[in-house]
Amino acid sequence: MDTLLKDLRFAWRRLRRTPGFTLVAVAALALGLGATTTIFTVVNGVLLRPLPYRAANRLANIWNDLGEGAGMAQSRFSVILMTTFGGIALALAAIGIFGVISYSVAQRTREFGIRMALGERPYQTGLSVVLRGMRLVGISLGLGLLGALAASRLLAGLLYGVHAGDPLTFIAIAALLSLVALVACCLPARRAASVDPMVALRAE
Amino acid sequence: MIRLSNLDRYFQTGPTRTYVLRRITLEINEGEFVTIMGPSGAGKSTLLSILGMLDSAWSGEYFFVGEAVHSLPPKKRVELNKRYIGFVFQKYHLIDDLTVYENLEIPLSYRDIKPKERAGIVAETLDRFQIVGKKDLFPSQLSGGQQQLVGVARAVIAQPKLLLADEPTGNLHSAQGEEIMELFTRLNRQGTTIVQVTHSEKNASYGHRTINLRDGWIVEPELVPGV
Repeated sequence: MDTLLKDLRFAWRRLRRTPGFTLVAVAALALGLGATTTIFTVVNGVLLRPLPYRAANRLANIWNDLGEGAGMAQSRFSVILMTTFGGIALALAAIGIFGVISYSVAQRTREFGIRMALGERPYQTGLSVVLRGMRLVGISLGLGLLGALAASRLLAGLLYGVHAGDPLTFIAIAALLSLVALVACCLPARRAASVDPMVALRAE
Repeated sequence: MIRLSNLDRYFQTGPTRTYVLRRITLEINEGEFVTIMGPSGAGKSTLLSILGMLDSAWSGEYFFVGEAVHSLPPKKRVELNKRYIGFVFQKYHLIDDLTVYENLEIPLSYRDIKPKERAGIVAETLDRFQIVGKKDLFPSQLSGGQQQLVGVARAVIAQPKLLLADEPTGNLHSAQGEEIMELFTRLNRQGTTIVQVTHSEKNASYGHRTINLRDGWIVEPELVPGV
């Protein structure tokens, strides 16, 4: 607990030292994560969730039977399009997280060198990078979900089937984004763990 | 305490091998204060980083407190470093975002010492180095001499048997440098083995003997350690 508090205090000081970068990083990540959540909320509400009628599949079949093949194709196209957008948003969020954490690791190379020279093990260095990255992602995700809640509230009035703050979608997306963020943090963490202390200390 | 035998360190660039250290054979006994001298590029700092287990890309034999370092895996070498070695750097290398107190606490935090015990050791060290009044200051709020004092305090806080100092007074003015060297002498008298790298003859005179390096070779025969 004591270590966690100290770590939080240290992280806070670092963030405060570069307020511009912190603000841009958190805002960009929050925007990316919020957009991803919103898109998947719409995909789930409009395209994936079954219509609230009995035998909803048959409704679609009747449409098809009437020879409106274009309608079915349109629907399929929408699913592909929205899922693609969702995937792109997710990939962009992952790239954003990777970029922010990589930048932070590059900035802290000297510090990692010092810590290793003082007895920190490489796995501890890597773990500290992942934990700090996930903390940043946690803040951004919180803000992003708030933004997504506001956006889905707006969309609920425009699109049939979209519900504001659908908890299941939000939880699933938060879990998925956290997993993606964890993977995105791992590569910079590995790089931090392989810092050569003497090279890092001489490079200054 | 330290025995090196035919130690080589080189960098491979394509087919070319550039040697930084060649056939280094030396012995340093417990309680000695040894100076490594030589021109820039002679391999002094590389030798120091090998002694401190921060560099593992070398060949030859290295025995430290009876352990054959050359046959130890990296994890075990880190353990030896943690248990026995303290570092003092020319550029102090304090962590900018940590206070003096927190900087001193770092080596202890990697040594499984309980927070309460840690606080006691840090308080004792602050007192011993007479920097209690600076404990809440950040490195940027200290002078060069004060930063190096904290650097030395941090290096010895975990009570290392061996203190490695790379140009410890290189960034200080002469009065501050003398203070640091006198501090080293006191630590040495209290039992800490010290190996320092320096360009200064005056600083070298604080030690018991000098090892001269040139182009990676030891250029003078080793003197018999006389502690």
